[in-house]
Amino acid sequence: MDISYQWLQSFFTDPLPAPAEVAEKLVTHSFEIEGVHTVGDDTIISVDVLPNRAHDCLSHEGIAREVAVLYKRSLVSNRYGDIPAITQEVSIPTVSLQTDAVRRYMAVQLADLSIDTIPSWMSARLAAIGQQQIHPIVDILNYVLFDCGQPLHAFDAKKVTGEIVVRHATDGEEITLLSGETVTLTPQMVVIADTEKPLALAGIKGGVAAAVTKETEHIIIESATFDPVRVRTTARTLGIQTDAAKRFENDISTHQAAVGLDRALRLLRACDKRFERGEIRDMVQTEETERSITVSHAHIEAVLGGAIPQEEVIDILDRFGWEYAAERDSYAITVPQVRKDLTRAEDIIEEIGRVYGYDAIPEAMPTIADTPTVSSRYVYEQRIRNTLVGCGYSEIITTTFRPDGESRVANPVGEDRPYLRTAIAPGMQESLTRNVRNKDVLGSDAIAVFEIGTVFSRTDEHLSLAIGWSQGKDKKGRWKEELTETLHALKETLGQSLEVTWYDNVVECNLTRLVEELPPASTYEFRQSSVQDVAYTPFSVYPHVVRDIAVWLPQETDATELETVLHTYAGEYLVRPPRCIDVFEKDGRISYAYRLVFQAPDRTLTDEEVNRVMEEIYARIAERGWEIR
Amino acid sequence: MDTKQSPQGHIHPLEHMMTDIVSVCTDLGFTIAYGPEREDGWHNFDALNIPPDHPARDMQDTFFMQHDPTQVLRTHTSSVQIRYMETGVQPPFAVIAPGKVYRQEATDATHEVQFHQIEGLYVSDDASLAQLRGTLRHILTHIFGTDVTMRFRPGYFPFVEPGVEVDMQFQGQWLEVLGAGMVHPHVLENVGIDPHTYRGFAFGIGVDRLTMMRHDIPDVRLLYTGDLRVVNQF
Repeated sequence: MDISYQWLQSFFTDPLPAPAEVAEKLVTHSFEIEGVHTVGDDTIISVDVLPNRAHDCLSHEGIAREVAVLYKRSLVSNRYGDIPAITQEVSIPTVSLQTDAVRRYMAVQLADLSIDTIPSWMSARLAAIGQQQIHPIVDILNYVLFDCGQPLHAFDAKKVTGEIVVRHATDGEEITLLSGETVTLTPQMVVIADTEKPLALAGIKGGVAAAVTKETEHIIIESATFDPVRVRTTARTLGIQTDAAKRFENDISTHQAAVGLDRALRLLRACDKRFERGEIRDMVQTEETERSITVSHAHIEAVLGGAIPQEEVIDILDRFGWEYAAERDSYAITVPQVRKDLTRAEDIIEEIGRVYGYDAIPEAMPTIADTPTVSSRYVYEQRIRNTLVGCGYSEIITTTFRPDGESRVANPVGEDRPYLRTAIAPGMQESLTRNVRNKDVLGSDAIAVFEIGTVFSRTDEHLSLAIGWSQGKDKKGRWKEELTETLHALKETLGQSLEVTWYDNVVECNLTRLVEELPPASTYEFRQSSVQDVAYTPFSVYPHVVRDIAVWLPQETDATELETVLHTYAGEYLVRPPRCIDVFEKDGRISYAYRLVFQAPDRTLTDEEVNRVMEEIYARIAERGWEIR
Repeated sequence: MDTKQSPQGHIHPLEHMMTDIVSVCTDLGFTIAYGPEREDGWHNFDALNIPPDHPARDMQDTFFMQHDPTQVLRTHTSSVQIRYMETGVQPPFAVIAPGKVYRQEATDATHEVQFHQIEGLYVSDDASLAQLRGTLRHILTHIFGTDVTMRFRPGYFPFVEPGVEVDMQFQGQWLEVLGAGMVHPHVLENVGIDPHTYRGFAFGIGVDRLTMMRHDIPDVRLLYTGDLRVVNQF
């Protein structure tokens, strides 16, 4: 929620610290702050109010209360002037509540209301938080919503026929909303209606039927509390989200209905000294009471894990303004109804802990007494990994989602992959194909990979091990030999053969079943991880160029000399050290063939560029009297 | 000189990170537990104090199974902790649950539909936030190989109370690395553990995020493409 710093300041007599400092304080003790930025003369603090405080902190007043607690200040009590007196001649709205989805309904009629423009300070604050101005009366009620968190609605009194009825919609009933759209309702949805027609979608949005316009002279203001689940379901079903709905969804207190109406009347009077208003109709269907929670001081210290002086706890309770009785070592606290998140001792302990400051808590270590049971699955997984890595296989992790399978998600991201994989093999095949294209950049003649992951049938899932090998165009079927050898290596380490399914050059095995069949492991076999300091280097997405060069070396010359020459003169675009790909002996001479791989990070290398490099290399080789083959 | 492929293969960077975390935790005495990736609503939500109309259960965040909308792809490995506690294990105990989890959201450089977590849980008659701090510092120090500057600030998760977000100083900034807190009494009640006698602390480590931080990997999707140009650097 965007909070205007100027608006926040209006709750305090003395100046607040600078916005960035207030934001930092809130982050440390209350909420996450998404950002702080200036808008004209004002600063916006974007507060991330999470579900547990959305019922009382989606407003400037809610945030101001937090700020007051953190800075030990009090809030200014009345910022908007006097409440207008009651004129008996102005009627009291008649209201009939026909559903228990409305917890409290307050309504008051105002006669001869005339406001041309809202005050500039109100205009500025609404603009700062990105609210559009629509009509002075609507704007004032909108201001109240963001001021104290209570949504209010105004009806043109002349357009309301008979009594106000809060009821369920009839099946197929329609209402044209203020936005212009006409929606069809179901009996699960609640409307505010008169004796003839629906006037508003309760807690969500008003309808055009009784909308306030420039011609409006008399209005009825509604300040109510609606059932959160009902509002949420209706808003989701119709695909409508409003600031009002968001607050009702989060279960605001019925207490706020009175606060909001009071505030609206004062603000309206401040803008129009002449309108008259009737008595307030107030119907309560759900009582909210204060809660009593007793917390022992020992409990607070036990949860926090450190000593906290009693004076600190009492100071914090005072800051919140709660009534409490401090016994010798416990506190009997009366929690106001507006704090619906506080229902048990642990909730109070959180309030105390966060205000005190979590960073003031010391550090300790738990003593975990018993030796843990060793996880066989973990031990065997690691043993398999280490064996495969030793055989030259690298580990991949691919996506669970596939174009086909037996188990489908109802809401996939990307309609092309809505199924859970039944095997790792197809994804591994794709990975092999992609990696084979890069085998020279990788410095290999072949690609060898493995994956350990979950696969899913319609009703079951199990851990699967897949191992794959590819050389690309491999007519000789060498993969079969390679994989067979690898399976043998695994058999040696595990002491048991693996039952595998062959998907051409990928073998797959049910690892869950294998682990069950193997003897239970008794110790972990951890190796020190050596990758802590590895910094990832992005690879180039541009094509690479491969050049092979074979050179006859005299008997006494070591291949490393040739390697050094190649490496030294290959230039800046050599992707990896030159790799020996063949050794050939004939008539007492040895020829060494090396592969050079070139690639630029930011473009495609031209043949001319590579040719120039090769020319240089040939020259250096000729210089040394070596013959190119 | 090699005429075959390079002799040694490479372990996936996520798996390196998981090994680091698992090894330090098992050293401390944590047991490793596993559970299904396709879960039911009780283990993924209700038991964790996430009621039916809670925002966390929105269709937006969770993958639901088509043939049975009460089945989901688990959104965290906390479900495994519930299963572990339901086996009737008596406090004190400490358990970690590593594994793949799923969130239904658009993918970008910092979001993938699947990622990895390790959730930890310690229940005893004296668990505290102080112990949580000590344990997390111990783990983070081991992962990053240096002393870490850490802070706790208020956070909210339905299954902990108090709940905290844990930040670490990294390259001159505070970066969020973990969510944690004291296990909510409802959660203990849901598995038959008396919250008046026992307390617990819990933490959830986002393995992908930590891996990206430790190795300066710019895009989480790189971890799931099966591309050896990534893996072979480790």
